Amino acid sequence: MKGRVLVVDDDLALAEMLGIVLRGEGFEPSFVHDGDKALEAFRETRPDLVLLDLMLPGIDGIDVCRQIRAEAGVPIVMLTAKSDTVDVVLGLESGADDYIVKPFKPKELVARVRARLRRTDDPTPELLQIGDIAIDVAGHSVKRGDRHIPLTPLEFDLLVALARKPRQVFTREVLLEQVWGYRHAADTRLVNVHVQRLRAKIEKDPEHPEIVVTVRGVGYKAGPA
Amino acid sequence: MRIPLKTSARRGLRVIRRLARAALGATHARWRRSIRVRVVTTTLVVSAIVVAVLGVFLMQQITNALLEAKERAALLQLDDGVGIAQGQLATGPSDPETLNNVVTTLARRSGTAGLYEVILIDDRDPGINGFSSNSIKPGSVPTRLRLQVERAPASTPYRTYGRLSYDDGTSAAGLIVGAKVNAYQIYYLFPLTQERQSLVVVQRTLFGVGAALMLLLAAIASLVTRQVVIPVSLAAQSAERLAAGRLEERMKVRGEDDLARLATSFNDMAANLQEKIVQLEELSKVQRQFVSDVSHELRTPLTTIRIAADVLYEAREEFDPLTSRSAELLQSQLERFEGLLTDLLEISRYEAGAATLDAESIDVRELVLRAVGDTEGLAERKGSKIIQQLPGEATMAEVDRRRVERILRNLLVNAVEHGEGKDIVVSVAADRDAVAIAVRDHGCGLRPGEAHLVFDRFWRADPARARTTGGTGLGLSISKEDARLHGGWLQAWGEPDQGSQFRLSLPRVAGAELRGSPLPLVPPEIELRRAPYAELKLEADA
Amino acid sequence: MRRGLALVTLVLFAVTGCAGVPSGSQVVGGRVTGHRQPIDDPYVRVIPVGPGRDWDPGKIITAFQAASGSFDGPNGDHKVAREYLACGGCWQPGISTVVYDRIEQTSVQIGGARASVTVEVDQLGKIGSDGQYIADSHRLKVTYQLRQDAQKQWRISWLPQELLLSRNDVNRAFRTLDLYFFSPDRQVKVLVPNPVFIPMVNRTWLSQQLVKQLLGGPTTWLRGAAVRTGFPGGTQLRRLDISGGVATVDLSRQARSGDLRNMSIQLMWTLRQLREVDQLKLEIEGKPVEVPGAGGTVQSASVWAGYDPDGQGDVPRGWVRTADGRLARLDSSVPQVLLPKLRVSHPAISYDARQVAAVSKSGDTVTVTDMTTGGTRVVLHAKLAGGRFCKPSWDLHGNVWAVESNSRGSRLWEITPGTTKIAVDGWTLAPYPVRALRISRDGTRAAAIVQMGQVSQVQLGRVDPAPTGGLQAEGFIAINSDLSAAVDLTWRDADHLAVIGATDGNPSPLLYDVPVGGGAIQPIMGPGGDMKAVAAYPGAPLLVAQHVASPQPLDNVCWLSDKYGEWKCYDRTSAPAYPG
Repeated sequence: MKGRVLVVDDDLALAEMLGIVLRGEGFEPSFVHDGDKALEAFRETRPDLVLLDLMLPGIDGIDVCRQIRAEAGVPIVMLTAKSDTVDVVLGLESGADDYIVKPFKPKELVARVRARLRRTDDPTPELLQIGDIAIDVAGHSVKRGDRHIPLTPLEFDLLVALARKPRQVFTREVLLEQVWGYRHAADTRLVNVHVQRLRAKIEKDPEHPEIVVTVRGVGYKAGPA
Repeated sequence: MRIPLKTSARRGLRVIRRLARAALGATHARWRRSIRVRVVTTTLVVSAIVVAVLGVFLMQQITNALLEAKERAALLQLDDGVGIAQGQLATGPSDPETLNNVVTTLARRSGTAGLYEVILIDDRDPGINGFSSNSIKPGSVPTRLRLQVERAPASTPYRTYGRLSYDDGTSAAGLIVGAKVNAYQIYYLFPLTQERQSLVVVQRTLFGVGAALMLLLAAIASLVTRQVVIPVSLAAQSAERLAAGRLEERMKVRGEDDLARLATSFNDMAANLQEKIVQLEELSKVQRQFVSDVSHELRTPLTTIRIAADVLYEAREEFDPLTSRSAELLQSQLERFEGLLTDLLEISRYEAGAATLDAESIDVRELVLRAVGDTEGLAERKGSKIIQQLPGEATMAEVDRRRVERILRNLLVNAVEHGEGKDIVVSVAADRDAVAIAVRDHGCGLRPGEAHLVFDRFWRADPARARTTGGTGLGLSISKEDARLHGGWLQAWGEPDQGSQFRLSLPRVAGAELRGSPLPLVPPEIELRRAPYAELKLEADA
Repeated sequence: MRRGLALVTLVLFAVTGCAGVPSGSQVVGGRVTGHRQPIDDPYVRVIPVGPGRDWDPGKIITAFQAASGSFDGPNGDHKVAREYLACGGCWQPGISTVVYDRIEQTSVQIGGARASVTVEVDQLGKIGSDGQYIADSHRLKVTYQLRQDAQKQWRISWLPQELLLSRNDVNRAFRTLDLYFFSPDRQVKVLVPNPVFIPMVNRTWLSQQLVKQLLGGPTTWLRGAAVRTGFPGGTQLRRLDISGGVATVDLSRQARSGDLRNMSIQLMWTLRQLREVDQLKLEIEGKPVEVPGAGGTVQSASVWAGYDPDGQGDVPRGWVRTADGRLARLDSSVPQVLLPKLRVSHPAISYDARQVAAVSKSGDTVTVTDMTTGGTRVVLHAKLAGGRFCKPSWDLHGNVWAVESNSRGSRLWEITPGTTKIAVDGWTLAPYPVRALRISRDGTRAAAIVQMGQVSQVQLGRVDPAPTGGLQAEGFIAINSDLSAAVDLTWRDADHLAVIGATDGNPSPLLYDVPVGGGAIQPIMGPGGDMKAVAAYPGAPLLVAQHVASPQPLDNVCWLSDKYGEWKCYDRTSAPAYPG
């Protein structure tokens, strides 16, 4: 359950405070205060999760997010002061798995971090097939034919959640709870953005999805309509 | 037989009336819409009146002049004739032969064109009443003229207009002059055929010229209006485009006349407007940036404080009582401070016009259920029970989930806060175009005039009363803005000791215009107790 | 703005200044377009009135006679005058018209509800139903019967069928117009006028009646002269319309068999007497017909000008006898003697002006001299005891007509060019001495001065083929009752004579224009002397021979200058003559 958490934040006080909380919860935090050095620090520490502030001196948090996502599928949770749609969507689209709006409660933060780290402890061997997509749940791999499709852990969880019960319609709230671990209603935009990202990777034609299908007014389901 | 005739006549009349009304309507519409039609029609009507009046006047003048000339000539001829007759009658005996010769002489003087006819009346001989020239009928001399001439002294001429009839059955208008010579009466009868022809020619000419003049004036009016209206309508088009947001729209400036000045002024105005709008836009951008920055800058330390406070709060049991209480207070006030900050930021977002609607089709009941679920705990603490009156089927509407939830939470919290522990009723209703959610409490209610004030920022019904639920005083104000962003209404009703009701009405389709609400603003049980007339005032207030 | 107003005012003033009549312009020729044809001379009608209340029989008759002078009513049937009658239909005045000079009521007899009024008139002549006037002067007694009607008003119950009209009534109510027919001569087409009296009901009626009478043929009197007409028998007038100078004559289908040229000539010459007619359009059964040689359907008067009854061509010179008995032509101010050896009295020049017929000085021989050769031959000697020839007369064929008279009678001779002489058989004037005889140019009529007792009367006879094969002159009628002492006569044109004579009222001889139709005679102002002889030719000045007593006795021939209306005389000349 312990994990390494890289905190990317320019605010020293907040970083320290986060450090106190995380350590109190048994995580191993490391810190970087500059966007320019974030990638470097990420390569050095190889964290299990990245806490990333969106507003950073040097490279913007969104760019940092892209850089990290380009190297690894490690879970990224964004810290943002901007709850505006545009900023959140921008952050999510750049590769973040989840976000927390400042100010937040320490418990909330810990809950999110835990939720992102939990899946790594769940090695049940299982093979799923959706359309022409084969999913090896234990092996964390998704293939179309022989071709491997790289997915982030969150995208993988989302696909697995849908694929485990094909043809069942999941509302966004249900998905939020199952995939992100939210008890209470949160921002359903998380689901939307990640479904779009998933489709971009696994669908032949993302404009006309065949694997993850939208059910208007309700949510999503796996498999053909 | 009479009745069907009458009915068919009435039906015909009705058809005619309908057609006339339709034509009138079309004409009226054109009349209202086009300056040109108005100006041309007015010119036509006015010039028609002027031409008609002028024509009648001219015709009268010409007729008078012509007839006066004719009369003068006729009297001169008569004078001449009377002189000749007197001469002949003086030298010879006045037997019928002399009279015959007199008439012959006089008739010969009429010339080959038949300028006039002569009648000489002599009723002394039995069987003969005088002589007439050519085929004129003696009856052409009107009796009124004969009586006048008979009574008058000799050689006094009289004249009148009458109808000359001839032996071959024809007749013509004519001027008849007569005078007495000795015991006889001489009448000259002038047919007015030539004058009539002249007058007809003049009349036709007047008609033609009048019509041409009218058309010409109408054409001129049309041309002039065109010259004025086209630039004006171009200006109107430009203004419309400008109003539609195309700030780069400008008018063409041609010449140096008034219209050119209009165009120049318009362009100046447009340029100024564009400049101002660009300025404002930039200002707004700057402000938004500022707000965003402030938000970030404020939030980051707030987060630190918050976490720190939380840590302290978690560890309060290890502190001494004073310190422990301080940690508690710090915790609660931080929450309030955070709420205030959030609301303030929301309001500043509205003011900057940065608020956007993220609409999706949602069952409104679901939102209500969730909001109620969120506030139930608070209500229980205050001793209130939240009663829900929801429709049986899904009530779908295109709304922004976040905003509507926020509105509902605000309303419920507000109701709980002022509900004095009594029941709170949430009802949902929908019709074809709109959904409405009403939140009713039975608390102290609102005093007259307060139904509007409740949406003012930081407004408080009783300044002396303490806030118990830690509301920021901005909730209703934000809710009102949220409702307005949807194109909906948020209205309040309240009476002292009757409680209050807040009604949110939203169009089912985002951006559609809201025409009415499926729920009454005033609760039905109150309405029933009311006098029928008070309703009007309240509706007006709403 | 103010300048604009001033400009408008200025323009307005300029425009109003233009109004008015021009005080000068260029000279423009041409007739007024669209003018109306001049209508005929004005005429005067009496205004008749019906009987007054309680008039006595005498007054009724006087008023009736006055009122019957009016041809009122739609067809000139005396509508007002009929109000005096007890029975409207019992009076048909169309038979003939008695023309009188004086009238007087000689007796009025009233017996209860009946009365009779006797009227005596001095009759001058009669107009027949065909319009032919015959002078017949005598005293006439007429009796009218009257009776009272239910309202005690006298009305005429019986009256003569003739219309009694005074000379003035006739002058006023009738028009004398010529109908034109062709002379019997088949070689030369010559129009013969046939004067008729037509009542002037109104202008339309007059023109229609004129054409109807033309279609009906010549008057009974002229019919004897065997004149020819182009209209087939039974031809009727369907319609006559005169407008814009064009007379449209629509004839019935019978006209199809007639000669269109002849009909057109007759119609044109007859209708052109009406001043409103210039052109003729002939239709048969409503369809316009094209007349050969007339150039289109509308014929102008000039097309048929060649058929002028007065002849055409140059106006001939006049001839006179000089004091020494020689024949001289009036070429200039001095008469030109052409044949110095020839001595003539009463010369008559042939129409071709090559021959001259003359009477010898003694008056008992007629000679004919060829003026080109100068050869004279005696053609005729008097046959009657003490017979004297009056001036001979030529016709168009070169015949010489000569009449010899003594105190008891006369004889007529015709000298045709080939033969020597023919005594004309049918000479109805044989019992009377004849003072003068002139044959008309067309050769169908003869005008004569006949000595009847104390009266020398102007009479008109016709020349027609005699049953024996030759020609005869018969059917002489008096054409005027006024001229009681005629001296000499000549044809002025086809239907007018110039007569020197005296009337009852004026015993000294004057020159008169006498229409052969019997119309009113008009005096012509003479040269002033004692007129002896007269010569005329259509279009040529009138020549009058006179004797002037002072300042010294002188015979001269005077001619009436058209230009100044004055007489100019050739001294020491006499016996004027024109061809004819």
